[in-house]
Amino acid sequence: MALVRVISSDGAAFLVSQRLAKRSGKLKTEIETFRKSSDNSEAQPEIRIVTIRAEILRLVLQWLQQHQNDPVLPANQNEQDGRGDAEMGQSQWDRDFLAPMDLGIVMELILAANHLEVKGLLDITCKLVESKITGRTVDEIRTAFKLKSDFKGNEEEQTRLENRWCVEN
Amino acid sequence: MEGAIEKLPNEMLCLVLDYLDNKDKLHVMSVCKRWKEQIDKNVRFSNVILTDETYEFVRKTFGHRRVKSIRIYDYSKTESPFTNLDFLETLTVSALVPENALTAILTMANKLKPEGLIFYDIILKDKTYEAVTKRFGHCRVSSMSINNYSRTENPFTNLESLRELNIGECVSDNLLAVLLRNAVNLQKVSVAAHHGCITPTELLHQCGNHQRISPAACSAKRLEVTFDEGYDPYWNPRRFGPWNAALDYAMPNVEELYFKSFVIYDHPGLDIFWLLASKPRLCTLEILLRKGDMPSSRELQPLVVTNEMNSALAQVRLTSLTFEFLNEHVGAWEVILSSQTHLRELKMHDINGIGFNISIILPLLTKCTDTLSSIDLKIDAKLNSKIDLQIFSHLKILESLELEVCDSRMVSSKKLPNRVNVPTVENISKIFTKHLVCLGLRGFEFSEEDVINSIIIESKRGLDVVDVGNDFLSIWKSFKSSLPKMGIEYCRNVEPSSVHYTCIASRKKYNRNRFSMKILVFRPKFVYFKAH
Repeated sequence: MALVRVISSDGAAFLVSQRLAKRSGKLKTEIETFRKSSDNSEAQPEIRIVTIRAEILRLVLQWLQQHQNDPVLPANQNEQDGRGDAEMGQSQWDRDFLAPMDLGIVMELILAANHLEVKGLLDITCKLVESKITGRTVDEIRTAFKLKSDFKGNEEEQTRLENRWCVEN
Repeated sequence: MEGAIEKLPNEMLCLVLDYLDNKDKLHVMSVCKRWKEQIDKNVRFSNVILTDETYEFVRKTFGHRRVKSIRIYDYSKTESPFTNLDFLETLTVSALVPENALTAILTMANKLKPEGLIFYDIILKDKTYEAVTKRFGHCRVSSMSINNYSRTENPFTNLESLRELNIGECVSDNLLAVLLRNAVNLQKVSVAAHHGCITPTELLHQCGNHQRISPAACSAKRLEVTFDEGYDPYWNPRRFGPWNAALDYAMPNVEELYFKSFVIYDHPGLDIFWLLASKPRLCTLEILLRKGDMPSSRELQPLVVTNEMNSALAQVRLTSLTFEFLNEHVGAWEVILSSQTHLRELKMHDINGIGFNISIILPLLTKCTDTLSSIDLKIDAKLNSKIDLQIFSHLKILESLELEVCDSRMVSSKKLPNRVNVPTVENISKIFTKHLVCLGLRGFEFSEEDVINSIIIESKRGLDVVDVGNDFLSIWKSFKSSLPKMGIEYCRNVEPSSVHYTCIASRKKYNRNRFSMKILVFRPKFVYFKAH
């Protein structure tokens, strides 16, 4: 089985099959680039991901492992289709996978999924954040995401008034 | 401390906010300046509905923002509410919108690619042929209805976008064959069966047979057949052949079969069960009978399940089954239910207060432990004196369980008098598995202690709504003040007919639109029957 060494920003190395790695658009491109530039066809590619730390990279690879037999979603899939997949494709395993994570980890996963071009993971993580916003009051959202209002004067009230229909309807 | 979401660059924040619906996108503009700015400038709005009624609102709210997709119907104005349509990707327009009303928008949407303009609601008849050909012949079409169309010409040059085809009466089988063959992305075919017209069976059969549609020619996986009032419902074994052949020839990929307003006369269910048995691809089946015209009044003989039929039905493998139960069919349902290994959803509608004996699903519960996630059953009060919920406790991913007592003697009444013959429920706490989101028990007898314990157990795991109807006054009094403090919305007397409607009523009442609400419904004594 052909392997690839993926190294996180903090130096942790993960040895994974090339088949699994190629489910990430970014890793696939890197492996192909390595193959083209390498004289030795047997050489093991080594890919450094300088923006993703080990804990997050491990989670991405764990997700890829679980979904290795799923059809690959095109990165440019339109929004409506993408949402459908996020809802339809969110298995119990996905829910259990995301359940213990705090928002900080989820945000890092979003960044990692986007960087590594893993559409399915990007969908479910964004959907998780969306579920923490939908149906909440503005104050509840601020509390959930540890945000503070930085509006001045009556700006906030003005914004509320402009969009008051969305609360009333 | 800075929130984690603040670490996201604007591009990624927009991507996350894009997942919100339009209403929430506008709502969260009040959270902070950065979110407001990104939504104003970079986030795109999808599926903006433009009608005469929403025009002013659309103009003010979305007129200056980035709109990605618009759906237009009931629109007659000749001006556009939008000032910027540079980001428009999809414009879906009802065919009933006048051409001059659409022109203003199309003029502005100069970056819209041709494949982004899609028409729906097209009605093709003999008398609309010329107009349809002229206006929509070269356009992309997502849904159309054909009715009283005797021509054989296909007015459409592009059928790639066609997702939904509704077939009415008097349609040329030749044309239908062309449509089924060329609409490569067709997802759903609906057929209305009318009295005095060619039957959908014959139509599909002829178009398949005559035009030699090769298997897999029609991609549609969903077939809906609605039997209108007056349709000759006499289904005898001779007619089973054409139905079967019709599907084989014309719609070989059918996986979801929906029969609405279905009527069974002298041969109860024979045809439908044979059809089911001969379609191994089928994974979803829904059979809803015609209300008010039930064969019970016609003294039907029970369906005799022969050895041959038994073997055939035992091969049926479904993931979703919705049906209305007739006592005459019990033998066939028993075979089907006991054979399932991958069923995810089981729903039994009540009809004339007929429920079944819960023992009929016991084999199913042992075979589908890994797959069953939703169960909605009507229980016969005469046949079930006690329901032990422990029988559901080993279902690993059960999310929703709704049980309701039916009693055919009580059809006209809303109450079971003096709780005579009311089944009891035992071991409620055993049902609270990790995944259970909705539990609805209606018309059963259970103790207040059980109810209180259930609420306490579930409140620790994020219970959203409790609905105990009118009867548990003591619970209401003791919990009225404490439930909201526990974070539970106490939904007394929302009068829903199911947990599903309790959920909707609660969302509406409390302006909540969570992805899922955890909900308990205990409705003792009262038995609700849907109006026929």
